[in-house]
Amino acid sequence: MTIESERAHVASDDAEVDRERADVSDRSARFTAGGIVVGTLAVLVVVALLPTLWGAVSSMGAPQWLEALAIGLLFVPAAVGVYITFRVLDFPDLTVDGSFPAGGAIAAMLITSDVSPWLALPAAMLLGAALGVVTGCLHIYLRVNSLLASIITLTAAFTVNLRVQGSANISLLNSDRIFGLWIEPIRNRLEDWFGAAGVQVHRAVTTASMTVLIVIVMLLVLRWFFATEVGLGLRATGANREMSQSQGINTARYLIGGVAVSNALVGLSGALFVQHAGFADINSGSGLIVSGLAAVIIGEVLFGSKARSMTTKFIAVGLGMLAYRVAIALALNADLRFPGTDGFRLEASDIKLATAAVVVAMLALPRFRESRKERARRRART
Amino acid sequence: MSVGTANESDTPKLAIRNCSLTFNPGDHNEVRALDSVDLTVATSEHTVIVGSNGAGKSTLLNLVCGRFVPDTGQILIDGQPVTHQPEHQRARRIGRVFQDPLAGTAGPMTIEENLALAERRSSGRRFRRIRRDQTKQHREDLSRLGMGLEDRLGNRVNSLSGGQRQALALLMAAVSKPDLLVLDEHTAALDPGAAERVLSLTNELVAEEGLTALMITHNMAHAVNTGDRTVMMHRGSVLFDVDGEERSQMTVTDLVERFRSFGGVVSDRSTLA
Repeated sequence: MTIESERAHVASDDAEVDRERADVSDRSARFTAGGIVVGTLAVLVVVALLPTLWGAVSSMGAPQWLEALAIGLLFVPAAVGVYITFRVLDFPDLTVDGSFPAGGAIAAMLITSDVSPWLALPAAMLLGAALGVVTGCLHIYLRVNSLLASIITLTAAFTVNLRVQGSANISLLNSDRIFGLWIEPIRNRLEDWFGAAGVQVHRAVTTASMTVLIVIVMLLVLRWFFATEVGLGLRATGANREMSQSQGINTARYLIGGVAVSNALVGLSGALFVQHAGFADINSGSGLIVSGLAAVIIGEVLFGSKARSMTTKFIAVGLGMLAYRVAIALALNADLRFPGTDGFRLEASDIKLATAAVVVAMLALPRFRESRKERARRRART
Repeated sequence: MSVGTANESDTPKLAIRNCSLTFNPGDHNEVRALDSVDLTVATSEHTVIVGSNGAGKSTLLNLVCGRFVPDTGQILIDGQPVTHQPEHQRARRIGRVFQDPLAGTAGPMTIEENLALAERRSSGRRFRRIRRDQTKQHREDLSRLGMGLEDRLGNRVNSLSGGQRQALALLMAAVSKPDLLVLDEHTAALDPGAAERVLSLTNELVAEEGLTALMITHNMAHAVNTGDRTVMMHRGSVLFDVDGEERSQMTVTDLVERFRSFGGVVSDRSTLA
């Protein structure tokens, strides 16, 4: 190679560097432009949606609000269960999609065979816990990846649930349910007294008031549990498995136990839900994991930095679930009028896509911020 | 039982007997990590292990802690065979600090929770409330580190620097006075200042509590100046083992010379200063 050509080579290298630099600044310019466009679009969408949203808020009467809150409360144990596997144990577990209908199935089976509906709750928790143990053992002893292990369990759980329940869908409307037992008489009395004045006590009120009590008991038990040596060990297992081993924790047993506790809570939600809904459906759990995650993330976004103790974190997740159910109720009530269509209503079946999109957006947000920071740092360096 | 007690005082704290371990046997990646290693450590002895990369130092410590099981040979602590005892059971008698400062503590938990966790290492865990009356003790222990951590008991360990985390990990390993303190290059990932501080803390704790310690280092100066005994390993075996008078007269240069004479390569990770 002659010196001349070498020089040319170097020069072309320089040119390349220049071009790269230009490219970088160009790209950052494009990003700023893109940001403005996206921002403007977002503002437009929000402005366009505000009237419909307001319409939804005002068109939702007290019964709908109550119903949304009552259902939200029923799902609070499940959301806390998802929090325990995802955040405390750092063990992504999809078993919940199977343990929710499992709890419902065993509750329905017991209730229709005239067993006390109260007994249905611990039974549902046990069945949920058993499914959690299966997933945990698959992961620990057979070294199956946690997601795969839970998918295997939830597939198998479908058969178990169907066998327990007897048919894909059974009605509990003619059986005693916990929400009816003690509160119904009080409700009837109230309506007897004040009914003439037009006062009605909605069914959701009885459900919500009873569920609040159950959720409070659950939170107290969890508060006690996470303040014990075993509870601390469970948190340590999730935070740092190697270190926990070297601190004398049998991490295999703790992990299996933790997944069992999580699924027991999901089973509890399943048993509560069928008693409110009045029927048990074998497919009721599908997509629960995503709504549980949505609750976890909403709870963290709303109260993230304020929740320090385990109990406040659980409460934040519970409020996240309530917010999620209210948001769904609003979305279902909203009349979306897009140009060119004559009225467009979201169906219940559209919710899953919407929830998935929200979860993805929430998960992407921190990463997006990170990469922006990274770009800013790179720009500062050049 | 006077005979028994007489025997006990003679029993070494740790005995590694003829341990061998091969990774990927029969494979073309086969590595003989440990080759018939014999090592006994007396009570309250502070042993420093040096050697090049791949010498088998960490493998040896993993064997002692129970993360690996030897193919052949036996490991005894206080004369009791523990060769096949799982790591979490053995941990009741062993305090361990890893090279990575993030590895020895639980980041999302507070300093106090980490200490409470370590306190239960030797006695096991039950469905019993965590003791809340230890705060004063925790403050005292932490103030020995001289890092101001005693005023940050409620802070998450995530918010600490690497040196602070490692000092905390050391404290956690040393509380409840373990039979054996295992230190796997625990100062290697720290900046020089923090490394010196953690090392002097180590020496203090080992001396004050009369702990039996096994420490790996890449620092040749630490290898001759800290502890009571230097063990050099190379390719899965113990090359030499000095203590007492001979060791006190040894300089870093002697050690490096000796290492080279066995065909050892002083890696660029080794520090001579």
